[in-house]
Amino acid sequence: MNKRVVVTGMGIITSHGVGKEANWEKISAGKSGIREIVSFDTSGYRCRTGGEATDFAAAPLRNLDSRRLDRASHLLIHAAGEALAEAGLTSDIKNIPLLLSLGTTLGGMLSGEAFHRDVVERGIQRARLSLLSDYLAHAQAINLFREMKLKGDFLIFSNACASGTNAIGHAFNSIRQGKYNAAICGGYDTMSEFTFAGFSSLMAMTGTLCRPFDKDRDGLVLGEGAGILVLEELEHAGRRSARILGELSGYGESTDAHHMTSPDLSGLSAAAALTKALRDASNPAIDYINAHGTGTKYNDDMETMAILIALGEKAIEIPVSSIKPMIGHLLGGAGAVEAIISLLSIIHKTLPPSLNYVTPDPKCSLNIVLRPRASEIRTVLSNSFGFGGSNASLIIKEASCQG
Amino acid sequence: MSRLTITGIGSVTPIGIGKEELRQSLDEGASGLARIRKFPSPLKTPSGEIRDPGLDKNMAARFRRVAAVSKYALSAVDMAIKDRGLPFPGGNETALVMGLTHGALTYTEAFHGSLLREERGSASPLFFSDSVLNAPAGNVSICYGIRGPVHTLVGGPATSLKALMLSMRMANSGEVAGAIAVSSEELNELSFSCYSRLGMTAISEGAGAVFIEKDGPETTSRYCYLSGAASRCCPSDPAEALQGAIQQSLDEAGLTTRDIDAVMTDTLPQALTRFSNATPIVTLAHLTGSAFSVNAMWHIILASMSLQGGALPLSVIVAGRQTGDLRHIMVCASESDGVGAAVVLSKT
Repeated sequence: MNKRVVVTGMGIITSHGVGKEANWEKISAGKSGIREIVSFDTSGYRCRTGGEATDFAAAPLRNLDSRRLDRASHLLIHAAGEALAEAGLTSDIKNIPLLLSLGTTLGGMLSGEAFHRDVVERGIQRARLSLLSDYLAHAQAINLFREMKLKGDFLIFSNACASGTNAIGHAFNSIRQGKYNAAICGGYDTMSEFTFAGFSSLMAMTGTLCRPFDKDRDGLVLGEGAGILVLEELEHAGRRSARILGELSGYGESTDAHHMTSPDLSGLSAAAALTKALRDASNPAIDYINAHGTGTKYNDDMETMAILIALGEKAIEIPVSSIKPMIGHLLGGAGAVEAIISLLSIIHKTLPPSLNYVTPDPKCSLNIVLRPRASEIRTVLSNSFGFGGSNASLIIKEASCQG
Repeated sequence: MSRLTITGIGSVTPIGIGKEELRQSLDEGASGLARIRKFPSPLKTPSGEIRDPGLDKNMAARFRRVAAVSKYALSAVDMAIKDRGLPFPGGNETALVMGLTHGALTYTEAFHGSLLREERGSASPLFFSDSVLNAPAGNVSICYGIRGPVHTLVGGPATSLKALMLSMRMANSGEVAGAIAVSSEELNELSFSCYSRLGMTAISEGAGAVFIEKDGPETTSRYCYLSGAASRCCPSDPAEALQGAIQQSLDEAGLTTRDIDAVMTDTLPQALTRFSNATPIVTLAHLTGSAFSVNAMWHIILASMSLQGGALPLSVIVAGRQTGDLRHIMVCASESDGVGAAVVLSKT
């Protein structure tokens, strides 16, 4: 018999700010956090905007020299700190064996970029190796262990844009199968020119506005940040008298096996992930779908097909929105941040809108949320899809739901 | 309850491609280390490079543009699937878990290099898409139509053991009929230079893959059972992380250190004091070099071959002595930043 898994803490950093209050206030109001990129020169690119977390500044740390850390580590440590504080675990965390399950596509890519610039300027034999200390994609997890004095184990998923959802799904499975009583999970990524240029080279970025599911959509906009959840086994949380924010009740994953960068447009493989998640949660009524909704033609066509296949006729009634036009695509952080916004939409009984949606696309015949509105949301389906054909879906439900 | 079994293996190593070449090299004690040739370097540091990963003609043509790290993974997985000796289930019935440390560094460097040279408009999208850390796993899933869970785990030398553990969990839960755990790394000029400057000698490249499934009446190929596995992180005390993982894997297997007939690891023997002095400590590193996360997977493959064959190759025993009857082998890995992992493999 699987155990029940609840959320007891959340931490979030995006271009909308630091913390769930700042983020929810702007997302529930349908505000955009997309601005001209300031961290590198975008001249020469078609797209010049993104969702940089400009309100976030690296703060001094208790156990690590903050000046030596990559921005990715700072994002992770800060978001995890917020999540642990909300869970009431800040002082007790070193006594609980836990799983740290994270998703990232880039790790410390900003350190890698800095090192590579040094190689070009100084030569390969004189470039400063110290720049690489935080480059590898697991260095941030080690830093979090050191800073928070955690005990347990970690796993870092790098499944492109599905990484964060896969990391949450793994933590969910680990707790319900009894391997751990608690987990810190989620994802993070920074804004880097490497990724910006990469998506630009693939012609995947918009030169105007990101408008998922709109007939005139022409690409995505990148963002940065982190989303971290504290998950606990229900009885473990109960013994601590922890405040239960919501419950994870289903997880599904699948792979396209089709193409490295293009999704399988039939939607069949992605639908398999949705169907698995729904079945895993005993096929609940879905009140809202937080879509992957990148704003690229292929993703949104494919995701529409997947939703229609998995949910059948009722799919066209369910409100759907993507928050990426507001904060950008956070890559490894996307699924985690979107899981948090999904849970906040349940808590606040409000549907976040799909910004910039103007012209319906007959190929994306979904019930798109045009503006924020109150709604009796109890259960949310949150989707993530990534390069390499990675598909992952989570079912998140309100804390009071039984069964 | 059915036991998890390794039913297929595939290896791309500097001392041979495939199990026959690997076995022969081990019997001869042949080293794969030599001065690097795949790129110009003033450094004389020996390294273990792969000249030809052994892809068949069709696969080599189909995947000619992918990074070396993907080619090595494709070759190792292809061998593991064929070695299993049964039709490949594929589709939703198979999972793939890749463990790696660096990914396609050559393409990462090429793509970023083009940006630094102010050639933004001409940066090749292939270099970008194949530099993504999950590109090797993606390429393997595309090649074999693997539509079940496909994951890429990143980390240090213990990561391939973590990939094996996640594969074990998926196969054990019944989520999939079988799972492939694979690890792959490629050498490039930048990483070679960096690690050489850090004092690391004999770095290498290659891949290893194993097919895992529950033992059943239709199983035709059985190398060994997977009896226990665990991993830990403790940056303040790396030794505690390793010892904790060793103890937990033994507990899971229902064994004690006295039951372990050999330990395969790149960890220094001094870290393994809990084992008897007579217990053979085995490593491939002096013959293959260190390919980061791949080495532990090579050890899993060597342990599988040794348990099936009943003996350890003498060329890889660096401490202790050969035992007469191999029943249980532990493969473990530790990282200086406090990660430890251990897997117990048992004779079928």
